[in-house]
Amino acid sequence: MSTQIPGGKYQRDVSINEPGIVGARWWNRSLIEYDKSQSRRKVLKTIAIAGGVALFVGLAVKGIADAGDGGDNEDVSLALKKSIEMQRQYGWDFGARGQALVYDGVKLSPFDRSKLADLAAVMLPLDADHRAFHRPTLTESLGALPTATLPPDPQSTTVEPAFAPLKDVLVPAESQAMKAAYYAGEALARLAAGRETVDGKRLGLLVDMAGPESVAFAAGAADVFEPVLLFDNWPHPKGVVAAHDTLAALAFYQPRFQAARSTVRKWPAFVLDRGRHATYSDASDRFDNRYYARFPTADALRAKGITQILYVVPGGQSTPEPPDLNVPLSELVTDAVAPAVGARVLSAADFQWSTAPPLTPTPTPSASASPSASAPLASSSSPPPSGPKSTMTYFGGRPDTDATIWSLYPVFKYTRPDGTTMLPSTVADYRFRRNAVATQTEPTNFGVVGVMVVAGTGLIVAAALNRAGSMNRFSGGWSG
Amino acid sequence: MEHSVFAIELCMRLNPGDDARARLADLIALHPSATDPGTKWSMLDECARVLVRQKDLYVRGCWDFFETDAKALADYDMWCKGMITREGARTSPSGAGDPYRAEPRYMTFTIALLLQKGDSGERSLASYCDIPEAALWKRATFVRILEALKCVNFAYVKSDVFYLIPGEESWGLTSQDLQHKKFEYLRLVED
Repeated sequence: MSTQIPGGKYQRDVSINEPGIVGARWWNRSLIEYDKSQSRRKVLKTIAIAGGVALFVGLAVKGIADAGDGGDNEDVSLALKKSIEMQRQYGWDFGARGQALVYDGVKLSPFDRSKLADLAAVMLPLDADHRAFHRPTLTESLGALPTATLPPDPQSTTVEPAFAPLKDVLVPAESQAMKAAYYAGEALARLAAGRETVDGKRLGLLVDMAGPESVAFAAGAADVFEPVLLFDNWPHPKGVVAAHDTLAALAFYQPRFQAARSTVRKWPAFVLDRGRHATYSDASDRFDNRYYARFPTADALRAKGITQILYVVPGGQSTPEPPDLNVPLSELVTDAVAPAVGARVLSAADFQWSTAPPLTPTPTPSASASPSASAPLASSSSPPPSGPKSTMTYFGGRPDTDATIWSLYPVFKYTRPDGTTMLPSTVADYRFRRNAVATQTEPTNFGVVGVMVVAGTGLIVAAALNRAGSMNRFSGGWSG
Repeated sequence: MEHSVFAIELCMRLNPGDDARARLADLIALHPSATDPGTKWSMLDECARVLVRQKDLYVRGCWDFFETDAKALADYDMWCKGMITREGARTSPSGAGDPYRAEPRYMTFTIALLLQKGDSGERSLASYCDIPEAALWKRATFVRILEALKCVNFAYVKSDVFYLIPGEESWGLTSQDLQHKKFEYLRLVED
C-alpha cells in the first residue's frame, strides 16, 4: 500500500507566533489526494437544497459527485462550529472576505485611525473588581489576525481579497438614538454623583439597549459608572447581530471613555447589546454571531460588594427581560440563602430634554464631559452631538420630576425635596420573576456557523455561508 | 485510509540563557508554509535532538500511540485544539522568575502526528511505543521514544502539529500554572 504514494507535498494551514505560544500545523496534500482515490468520490449537495445551516445540527452530510465539472470530489461533511472560534482562527470576516460592513449610523470622518489600536485598553476597567466581570471579546476583534487559512477554492476564478484587520476598516459612527441615550446616561450620572447607597455598598447599572445606544448611555454615565463590557461576539459582514455598530459606537466615544478614566469610579455599568438574541429566518447567508450574556450571579455580585442593580432598558415595552438575564436577575431578588441583591428596571426613555432650568443649581453637562468636546476621533468640524446648550436632560422630562428619581428607586440615602412631583412609572414597579423555561445555558444552535470539513481529517475547507458559493470547492484538491 | 496517532508532550525547566526554547521556536516558526517530507523529517529530527539534549530538565510529560482509526482522528483533533485554542498558554508575562529560589519557569513542547496506518515507519514506531506499564513515564522512555521518531516516514504522515509554550522567554509557565487542572494529563517524569 505504501509504495503507491510518491513523495508528498505539505501545506501549513495554521500558524501561531505569539508570546504565549508558537505552533503550526501542516497537512500532507499527497495523502489527502490518495485518500480521495481510495473512496468513492462524493461531494456535498447540501445548502442549496436545504437552505439553512440550522437544519444540519449534528448531521454529517455526504454528497454526491458533481458530474458537471467532471471532477472527483473529496468526501466532505458539514459540521457546525462556534462562530467566534471560526472567526478567531480564520478572521473576523470568515466566509465573507472583503465584504463591506454596513453601518446603521452617521459616519464621521476623518478621524485618527491609529487610536483604534488603543480601544481595548481604554475599555479595560481600572477597578479590579469590575475587571473580573469584563468581557474583552468585542474590542479584541479590532486587532485580531487569523491564525489559519482556508485552502483556496479550486473552482474560483477570482482572487480572494487579502485579509484586513477590523481596525483598518471600522469607522466611528453616531446616530440620533445614541445622542439621546448619551444624555440619558449623563443625567443619571448627575443624579447619582456624590450620593451614598442605603447600605453603603455598591450600586451597579446593567445597560441593556441596542448595542450603540448602550454604549452611548455608558459614555454619558462614565464619570460616575465605570463601563464593564459584556459584549461577547465579533462583527461580521453578514452578522445576525450588528456588532460592528456597537464597536463603531465604542470607537466614537473612545475619547470620552479615555477622559473618564482619570476619575475613580466605584460603581460598575455592565453594558450589553439587546440585539444579541436577534431572530432571523433565512440562515443561508447570515452569520450567526448571537450570544448569551454572561451576567454575574448574585453570589459573584455580593462578593464584590454590589447589592443593588438598576437594569436600564430602552423604554416601557422592554420587559420582561431576555431569557439569558431572567435567571440571574430573578435570582438577585429571590435569593433565599443570602441577603438579596436589589434589582429594579429603569427606562432610558424616562429621561427627556427640556429647556426649563433646574430647580436647584446642578452641574450642567460640561464641555469636558460632552463627547464632541473631549477630543473625539471624529473631526472637530463634526456637528456636536447635543442640542442647544440651554437644554437639560431630566428624569421625567421636567425639573420637578427630576429630583424624585431616588424616591422611585430607593437605592440612595435620600429625602425627596418639597415641591417635586413623582413620575408615574410602570417599569419601576416591575418585579423579576423566574421564568420556568428560561436558562442561562446557550442553546446548541446559537452562535454557530456551518463549515465544510474533509471527512476523517477535521480539515476545514470552507464556510457554508452562501448558497451561491461553490459546494465543490474541494473537488480539485489543493492548488498552488 | 486507516489512521493512527502519535503524540508526545514534554514539560521542562526553562533556564535563563538556555537556547533550547529559542531553537525550538525557530524550528516551528521558520519552517516553510509549503514543504516536503524530507524537510519535515529534518524538522522532526532536529526537534527530537533538542528535546533529548534537555532530558535532565524534564519535569512532566505524556505520550500516546493509538491505532484505532476513530480514536486516532479524535485524539489528533484534540492535540490540535490544544494549540489552536492556546489552552495551555499564559495570557500575560510571568517574568524571568528566579530559578535558584524556587521560582522556576517551565516550557512545554508538543508533537502530534496523524499517521497512515500500515506504513512500515508507522509500524516501527508502534513497536517502539510498546512499553511495559511500569516504564511508561520513565525519563529513559521519553528519550527512547524521541529517538524512535527517526523511523517516521513523512510521506505517510497525513498531518502534523508542533507547538511550544511559551513563545517568548518571559512568558514561561510557573509552578502555579502547572497546578491547573488543564495540565493534569502531564505525568510526573520518573527516574
